Amino acid sequence: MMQKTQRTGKNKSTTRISKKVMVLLIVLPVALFLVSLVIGRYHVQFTNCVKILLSTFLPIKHTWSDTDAVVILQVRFPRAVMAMGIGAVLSISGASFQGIFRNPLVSPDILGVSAAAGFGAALGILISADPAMIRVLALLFGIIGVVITYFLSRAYKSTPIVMLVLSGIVVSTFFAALVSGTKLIADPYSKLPAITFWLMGGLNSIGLKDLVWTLPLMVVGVTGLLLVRWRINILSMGDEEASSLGVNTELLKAAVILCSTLLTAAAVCVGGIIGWVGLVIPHIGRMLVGPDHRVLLPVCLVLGAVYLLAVDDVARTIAASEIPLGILTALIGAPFFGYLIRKTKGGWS
Amino acid sequence: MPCKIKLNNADFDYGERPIFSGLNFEIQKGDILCLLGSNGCGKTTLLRCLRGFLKLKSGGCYLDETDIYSLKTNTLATKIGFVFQEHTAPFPYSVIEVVKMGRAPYLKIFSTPTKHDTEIAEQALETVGILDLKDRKFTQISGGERQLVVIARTLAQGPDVILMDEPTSALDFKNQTLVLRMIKKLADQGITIILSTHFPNHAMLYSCKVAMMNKGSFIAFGPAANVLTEDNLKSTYGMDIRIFSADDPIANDTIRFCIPAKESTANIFAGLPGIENVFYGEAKQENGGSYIHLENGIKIGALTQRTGRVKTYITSNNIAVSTTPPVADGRNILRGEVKDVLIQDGLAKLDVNAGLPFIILTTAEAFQKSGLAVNSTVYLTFKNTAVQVYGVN
Repeated sequence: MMQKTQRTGKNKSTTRISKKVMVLLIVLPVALFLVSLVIGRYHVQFTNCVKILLSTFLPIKHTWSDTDAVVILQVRFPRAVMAMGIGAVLSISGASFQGIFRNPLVSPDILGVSAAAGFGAALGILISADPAMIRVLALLFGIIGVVITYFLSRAYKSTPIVMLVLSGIVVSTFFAALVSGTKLIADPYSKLPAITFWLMGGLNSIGLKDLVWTLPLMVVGVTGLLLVRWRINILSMGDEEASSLGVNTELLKAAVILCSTLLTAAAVCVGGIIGWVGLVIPHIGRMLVGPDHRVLLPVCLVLGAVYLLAVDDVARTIAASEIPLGILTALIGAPFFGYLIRKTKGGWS
Repeated sequence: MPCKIKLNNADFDYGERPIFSGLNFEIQKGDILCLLGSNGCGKTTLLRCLRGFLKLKSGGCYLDETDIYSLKTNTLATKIGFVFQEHTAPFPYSVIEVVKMGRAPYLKIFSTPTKHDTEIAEQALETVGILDLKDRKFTQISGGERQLVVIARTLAQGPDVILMDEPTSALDFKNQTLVLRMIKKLADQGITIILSTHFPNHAMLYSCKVAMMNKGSFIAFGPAANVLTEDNLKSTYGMDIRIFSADDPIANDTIRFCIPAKESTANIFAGLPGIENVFYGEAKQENGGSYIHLENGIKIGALTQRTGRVKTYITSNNIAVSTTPPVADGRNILRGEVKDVLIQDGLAKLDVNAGLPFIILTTAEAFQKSGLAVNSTVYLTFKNTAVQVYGVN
């Protein structure tokens, strides 16, 4: 027994994060967040930027202009927070879905949430709803889309993975067609560009009020996924094997789908359709810390947040006008991922 | 002793398609029960019903006199473990992580394994003898090792009963043996094991109880030695199967084993009594009869519809020997010379060169009366029906 405990102590657990990675995962998001507040076409000094942030809860002497404060607090701060939030939730949903679908090629929109939310938004733009209403419509349709997928796939009181994926394709295709339909009848000078830009994703319209209602949704969904993250390991061994281990697979699957849908719908309704994050980040996470979802999910949160914040910084600073986020995540993400799979030959999964 | 698992008049069907009906059995603690039967006879379905994955249409399944369908998912998982035929993980979890999953029924839905669970998982790996694999990746070990890891995971569940669905069918010869020995060891420790298998020899070698299934019912149930007969095997698998026994002087044991009869028997056991005299030739239908032209210009009559290249064998105890030419009455007659004689246990085995090397088995008494000796001329006589003919591709 003595000998055994010793052996256990010596052997480095495969799921533990190395110190280097740990430091990186803490320092990187904080540093990038501060940098993101400073960069941009309107120049704000770094010290002022920090002071403005602190002044929201500490009494600090004003050494900055009112415009500085507005740019930092009303524009850049909510945008950076939202970029991090969206990146984080898309990544954790992607990792969870890849776990329960037992397939590393799955992304969070496999059950049709993005396509359905896209239609919700397009519909909102078509009927000239106000921006808040467009978001609510996107959120609602996103959730409705996944609900349809879920019940379409139920057979013999269970939801087989193949059925879920096929139903997801059905729902995605259906809503994609509806989006095309709305584009066809939309006013080509005002509404069609609005729909197109919305579908390409972007964070240029994010304000503080958006944070107020999306962040709680995100916190709920993320908490849910983090709580069951060990059981996602078990579910990834297959439904029958998991139930032989006493896991209520249907309940767990439904819970993961519910949380991930909530997260993805919340992300899409404020940021539009942002692809690739939910597919690529979990892979990078697995390369860093291995496949154990207990560690992988929290790591994906951080990696996703950093990645999307960085991409959004590029999107808003690199050209005179903003580049839609959905284009950049793919434009940067695809070659980077290509480089990684060449380098590792897929050895991490 | 109270029975551990009892199946009472169990029926199951997939809608229109009946799978089995009226199944009954009782087994005790520490028993190994082998389910034998052809593909699709309902072995796997039965195992699934016993685990509660599927619900019997009628009848009952009892664990320690408790209806298993009345137990909660979690409780059931701590009592009955299930080992599948093959295990794949989409992600390269470490072996110890996989074994720790066996602790799931003891943990609340939001909790993760503690140090205590890790210790139990390590103990399970130790029991199975693969603790040194614990940090390896589950996807990168061999199939046999993976099966042992899953058995360790099942042990971490702390079950009284382990159900295994063809646990050895994806494994090589050595790994099959490793897994079977492990099963035997666990049964000796008091765990009741029910497994399905396609290898009747496994049941014979590890002296299990056997349930032979055919068309949805048990055609035989009991200890392997009583149940595994040539008749039962034939009605289970729908072909002739021969049972042999052999002494293992090293283990000081007698081993029974079975193999499919006929063609493969002739191939593999060309040295056993009754199936010597294997020759190749050309079958022809001529002069209203069927003949086989063997090598060295020998032609024999045989009852066959075949033409073309064939393999024949003439059972050695169906050949009569005499020193004078017998009356030609349609039987095959060959002339040869006795090369060697072996007399043992009241039997005489003659090596005869009749253009082809023949082996003839007769009683020692008949041999002595015949007046044959080594180098004497001998006439071999056998009927056309004693010639077995098989096609050769």
